[in-house]
Amino acid sequence: MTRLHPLTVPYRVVSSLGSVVALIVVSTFLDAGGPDGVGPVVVAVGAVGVVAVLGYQYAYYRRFEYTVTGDSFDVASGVFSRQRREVPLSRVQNVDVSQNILQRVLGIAVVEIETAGGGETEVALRFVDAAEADRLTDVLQGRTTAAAAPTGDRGETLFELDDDALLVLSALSFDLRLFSVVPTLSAFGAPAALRYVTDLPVGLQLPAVAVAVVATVVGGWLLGAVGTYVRYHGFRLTQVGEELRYERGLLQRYSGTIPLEKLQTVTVRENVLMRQVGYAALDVETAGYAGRGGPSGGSQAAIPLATRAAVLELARRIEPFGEVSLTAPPERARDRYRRRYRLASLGVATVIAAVGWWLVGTTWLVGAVAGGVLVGGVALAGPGARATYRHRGYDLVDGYAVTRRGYWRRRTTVVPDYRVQTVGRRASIFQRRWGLASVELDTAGSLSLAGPTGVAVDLGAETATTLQETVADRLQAALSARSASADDRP
Amino acid sequence: MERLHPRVRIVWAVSAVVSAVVVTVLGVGVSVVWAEAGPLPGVALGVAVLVVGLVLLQFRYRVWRFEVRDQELYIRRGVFTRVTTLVPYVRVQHVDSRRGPVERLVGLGSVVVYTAGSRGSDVTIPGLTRERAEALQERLRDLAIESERDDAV
Repeated sequence: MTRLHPLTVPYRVVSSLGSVVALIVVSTFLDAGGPDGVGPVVVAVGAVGVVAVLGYQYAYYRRFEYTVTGDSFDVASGVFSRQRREVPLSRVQNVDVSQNILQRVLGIAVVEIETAGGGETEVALRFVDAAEADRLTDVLQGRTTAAAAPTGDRGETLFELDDDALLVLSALSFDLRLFSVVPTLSAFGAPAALRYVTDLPVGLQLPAVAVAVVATVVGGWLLGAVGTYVRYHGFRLTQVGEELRYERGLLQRYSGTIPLEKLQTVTVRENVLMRQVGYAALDVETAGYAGRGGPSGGSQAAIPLATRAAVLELARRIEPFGEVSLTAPPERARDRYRRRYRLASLGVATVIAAVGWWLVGTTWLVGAVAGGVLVGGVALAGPGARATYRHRGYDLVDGYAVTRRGYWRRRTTVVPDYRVQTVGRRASIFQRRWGLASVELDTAGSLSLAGPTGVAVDLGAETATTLQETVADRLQAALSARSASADDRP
Repeated sequence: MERLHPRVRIVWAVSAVVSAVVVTVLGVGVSVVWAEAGPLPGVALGVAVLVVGLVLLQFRYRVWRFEVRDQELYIRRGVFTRVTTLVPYVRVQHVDSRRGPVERLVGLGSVVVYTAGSRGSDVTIPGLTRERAEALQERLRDLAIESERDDAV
């Protein structure tokens, strides 16, 4: 059995002293007797807190042991209640290593091991020696794959994010989801802001609103850009044997492994800005991070940004799917979107009018904004519907099902036939009115934060039924073929 | 294709009554204390919820179908959003049977099928007689074992 790194104790003590400081602050308020603010109660509480933290962290260190046996990774831990966990090596999905700045100076690292079960990280080692982290990565992943890579082999570099691409990525990384906080923010800030605006001279009202909007947008963009720059600095993807390894991060370093054998789906992601300049990103999914984003940033980015051609080349190297020509939804789907967008702009305009009337009364500003939203929304409903429609589709190619959706963030997901878990067909009451239905190809991959992947949206009702049955049949065929080829192996 | 046992409507009706009672209590509370309009609006709201619930369960019962096919379990359900799901036996991780208090009173039970999928990873078939639930659970388990070829993830 191996222990954690000895520096674990001081590091964990310092990071948990935050709660002791909080205790001291609270007791300062309780300790009304001390005129200088530091009375005997504070000292006593502080001393007890520090001793308790020291004792607990030392006990944690003493009672945490791990070992790699022939075919499993065993961890014994727990100060008060003991836990013994055995993770079969063949079930390990991902191994991730991270180091923040302080940990890099101290030469320690966090190792996290993911399996397909459960909603959280199955094993977290805080902290081990940096070299030990590398060794564990090799040992844990080397055994999950048939062709174990020799330890120390740094593999073949598949992709490296150079400085120019990183800057482009940072500039393009404006997160459109930022806009989703606008309704929440305005619910709190709008009353005050509106009153402030209406106090201004009439000629300055519109410019003030415009400046505020621009400042918010630019600020959000800058924040996103800096965050992305720090997150993806030095991104590198290598292939070692039968697994992918990534490393990234300017301040906090992340590295980890993704076994090719465990890959569920591959997604090419392009937002509207990336499409203009011919760039794309590649996400891969394993079952390790079910329900959460992976530590390689959001979902598991295999390539954060590269030219579309380079992304497709790597995607095909991972999953050799052939030429894809997507089938669009029936044209009535477009009419459905147009009507939906018109109704939505009517709804938004009504809400704006109602809220504005409630907050500031019937002023020209409220009327102008509500009317503008209504007219603009109705005018944009047509182009919007066409855009939504144009970026949806599906295709069945040899061995894979491909689905695409999303105008702002277009995601093209490649689902291997043999990875399908269940096949669903879903038709809401509105879809049924238009004779449409969606088909959901469920895999064991993590449900990405950006929404479900592997969904063919708004097919004709008949087409959807056929697709559902076809995918289920292709799963059976693919599994038979795989087990036949497994039997052939010596 | 198999339908659910008609008595499943009793189980659903009980839960409709429960939610109607909750809504009535809340509604009466709000209409008496906050709106000072007497208990009538709250009661009306509760009755409306009850009626809608009772009508919906009738439709739900009519829509529900399942079928134990050769290679997969077929399920159809949903009044407003119609959902059909194919669960290949090879993907079944485990099968539970469940009997809630009301279900036990009317002699019914449910079977829950789990897969490793990320959404809809558990599928429940309610409204089975006790014998049918046991038989179905056993059959699904056997089919899952039989079809086991590769590891499930």
